Amino acid sequence: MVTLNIPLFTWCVIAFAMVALIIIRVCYKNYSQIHHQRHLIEFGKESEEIFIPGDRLEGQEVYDDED
Amino acid sequence: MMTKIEQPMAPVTAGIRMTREGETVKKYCLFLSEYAAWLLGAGATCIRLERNVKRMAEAFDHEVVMTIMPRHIHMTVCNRDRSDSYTYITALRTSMISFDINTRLSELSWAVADGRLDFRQAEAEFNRIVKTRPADKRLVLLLASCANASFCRLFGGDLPAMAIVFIATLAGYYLKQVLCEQKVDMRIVFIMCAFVSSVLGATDALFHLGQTPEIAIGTSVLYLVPGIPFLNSFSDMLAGHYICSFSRFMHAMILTACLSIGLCGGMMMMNIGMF
Repeated sequence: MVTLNIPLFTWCVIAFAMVALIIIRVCYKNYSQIHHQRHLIEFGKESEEIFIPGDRLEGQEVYDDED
Repeated sequence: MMTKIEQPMAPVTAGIRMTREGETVKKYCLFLSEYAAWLLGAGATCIRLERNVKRMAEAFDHEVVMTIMPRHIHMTVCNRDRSDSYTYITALRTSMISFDINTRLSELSWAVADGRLDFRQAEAEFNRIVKTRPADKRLVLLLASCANASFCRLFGGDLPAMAIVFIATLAGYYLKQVLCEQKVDMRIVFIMCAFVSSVLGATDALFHLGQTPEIAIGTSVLYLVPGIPFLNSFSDMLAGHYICSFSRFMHAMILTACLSIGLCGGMMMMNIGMF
């Protein structure tokens, strides 16, 4: 029967939690700087997900175009 | 025949009496109130606040009376002949304690008193001072850890104890910075940081690394001790500002109690000391 060493268990939890916190924050800061503050998960526009050359870009207004 | 020389009266514009510099009592009062709120929020004692504000008010040829409460300042500014006065109540600026801002605001009051700055220049300099960016967080983190490790040495800790205290302080202070960014209540922050630091500070006792494990645990939480509120509390008590003194003392006691809860929790989980 294995007896739980509470001090060692507590020490391991705290130590690994702090290491994980530091790693997550460093990675998040690097990711934010690279991707200019974009969210990890977000709803994108249809034109950003599927784009075929020749499609109308955002902001382009073609008045005589008939769809 | 004696010729009576009369001092020219200050011009009256739209019912508002202007000073020689063209400023109103209201402007002086608002400036001094803002100055007082920032100085008190930066960690100055009540006596320093009173002296600085009175010094500047005298330089502006005005009189000031203040009531300093723990979170508010009531200020009344009037001109010499008491013909005009303005009262304003301002709340304390909840900023971090900053000796840099404290010192520079005190220097500003001396510059005004010595006549090196007029009112407009003082306003501009004040706006510059309060926009001072805080010190680099990583530098503060490193220096606080070094300081705590030095405390461990001062109390007789050996080299392994110093290294453990350095790492425990690094972790605890980093957690404090993260939690403060998330606007967590300061009491919860103290409990959590004291617990983390004391658990990591018990590494010496857990793995039998050095000869002074109890010193490592005891000094690992020293960075959380609220020294400035305690000192300011006694200073205010000596100056007769009992309300502020009691308020600061209670705040310091609550933070110390939270620190103790975290430390005792850590020691209990690590089976160390009095438990």
